[in-house]
Amino acid sequence: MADTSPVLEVEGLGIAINGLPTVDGLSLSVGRGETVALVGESGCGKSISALAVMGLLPGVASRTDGHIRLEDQDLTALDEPAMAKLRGDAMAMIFQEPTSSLNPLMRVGHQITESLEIHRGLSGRRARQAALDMLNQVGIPNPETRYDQFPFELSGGMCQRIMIATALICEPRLLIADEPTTALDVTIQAQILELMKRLREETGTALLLITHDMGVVADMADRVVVMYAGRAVETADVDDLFDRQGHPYTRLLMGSIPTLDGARKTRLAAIPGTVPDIANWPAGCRFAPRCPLASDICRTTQPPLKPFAGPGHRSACHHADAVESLT
Amino acid sequence: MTDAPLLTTDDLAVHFPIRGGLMGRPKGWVRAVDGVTLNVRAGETLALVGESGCGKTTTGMAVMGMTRSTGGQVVFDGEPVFDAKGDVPRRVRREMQLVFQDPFSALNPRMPIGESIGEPLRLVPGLTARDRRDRVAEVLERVGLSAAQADRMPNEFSGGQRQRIVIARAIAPEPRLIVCDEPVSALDVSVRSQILNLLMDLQAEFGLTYLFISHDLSVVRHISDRVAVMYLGRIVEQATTDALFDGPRHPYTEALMTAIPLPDPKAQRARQRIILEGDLPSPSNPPAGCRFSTRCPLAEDRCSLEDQHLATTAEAHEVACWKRA
Repeated sequence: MADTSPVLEVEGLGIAINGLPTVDGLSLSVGRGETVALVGESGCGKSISALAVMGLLPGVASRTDGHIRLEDQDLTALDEPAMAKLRGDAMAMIFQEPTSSLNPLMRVGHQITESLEIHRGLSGRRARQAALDMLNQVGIPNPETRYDQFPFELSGGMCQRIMIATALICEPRLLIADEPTTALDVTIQAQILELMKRLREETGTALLLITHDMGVVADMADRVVVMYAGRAVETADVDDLFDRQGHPYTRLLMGSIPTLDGARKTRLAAIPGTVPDIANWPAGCRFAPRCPLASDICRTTQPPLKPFAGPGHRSACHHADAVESLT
Repeated sequence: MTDAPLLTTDDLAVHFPIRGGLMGRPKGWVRAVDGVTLNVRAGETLALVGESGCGKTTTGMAVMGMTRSTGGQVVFDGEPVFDAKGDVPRRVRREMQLVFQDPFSALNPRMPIGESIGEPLRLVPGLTARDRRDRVAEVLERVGLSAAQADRMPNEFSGGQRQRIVIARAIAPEPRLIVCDEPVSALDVSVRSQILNLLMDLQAEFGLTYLFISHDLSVVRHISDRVAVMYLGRIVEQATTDALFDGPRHPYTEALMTAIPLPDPKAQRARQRIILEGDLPSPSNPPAGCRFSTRCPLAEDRCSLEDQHLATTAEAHEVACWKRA
């Protein structure tokens, strides 16, 4: 698992969209060969944080605070050409929607060799051979035929394999996967998750996995960062988090998921209300309006991430010790 | 719950033509639904489960009379869904309602939600405009919104609230059966359980029957009484929920169940996963014999030669696999 120096280190990251604070004080690190899951619901800021790491923030968004380090490099000090040199080489990203993330007018083989040409100066037969090997590794049958096809000729699962191949061809130290299996059917999801596990073992890539699916988290992650409304509310090793939650949001979220072995036809735990709007983040703890444990301090003072139960387990809740009483 | 089926489909087939053949003739057929027989009993929840492209949504559409079947028929409470003139009788239209997956596209963005909810009430004979307004107020309150919100537009509501509005519209004309097509897949996890609780409450209160279409097995296990598993236009296994989850018989059902990652890291690590090879074949050119034979870990020569039909194994447990029957 992880050696001491992290591959990716994010410290106090703040992001604003159209001047509205979207992500606030996010810190996380991913070690070599380690998988960290960034978990949360839509709009919690998990994807935009990943884009900030890649230097791909859209025009309306900007980084307002914090540092991002990839090994010994401070990415926040780099200009765009320097970032472009890293993207696809030292770090790579795969997206949720494989069919719309590939260039529809480019043969899939060329989409894989493109970064070899740019970053390694490799072209022609040698690039083609490397791409064919990669296609083989990601489990594409008949790579020779597929190499010359266009994305529309491939299924969603195959396109996701192609994306993974393009991302891994330069052996990145960091791979960010943003909901890589959400658009896929469960039997195809199982294939892709197994593939990502195998490649992670073979290459030692640090993996930052963005997902909202607690099943995928349980299956893939070593550590978990739970985000709510732009902030990290809890972070822990995966086993610790599923054993004991230190934040009411995590606790209720887990209780609201029907399981394959629990009681049937019973009422599920529900989190009342909806995720607050980015333009109206509540003061204090942002989960307070929906939280059954909320008290006066929660509505005025933002709780810091502080140590909870075991080592490496931190929770941002004034009432962390009472969370277990919630059902 | 009684044993009399409220809804039956008998060897239902929906084949869509692939256009572009000579002289505008179809050059092939997509066999979206290909011989589906279902019985939904009054008061129960029957789940129709499968992956995208298996035909579950098309089955739901055919049941509602929203797409025309090309074979077999659908009978709702003793009455065919299409009458002799090819229309869906008013009574059937009123007593069967639909909840869609995406609450953002299921509501007319330019119509106040009260009007949307009032639309199906036009099918109820003898209601005045005033009765309709009262009923709209009543169902809004019932789904957890307030009657005062009837004049608001859909864009003023969140996804979860919109799904409540869609559900209010479905229950407004006092239907007996609701086809729920992936009613929670588009919602955030924390909102999903609210909607599932609401659906279960409404069923208990009004004795509703649900045809629940979903790809999410843990949701299906939680709320349904019986489950039918679909693969490439056919039902491959059908059983009570307990029987299906305790002992899946069809190799596809088994693979589907182990493919879902459990929200429990220790159990997940201990578990043996069945990984299916390859992709779903195209429904325009389904494999010969058993349709699952191209991906089945148990397949033998016989499987690609001989079509498989549902056969009863244990009590009320049907499976379409000769090796497991």
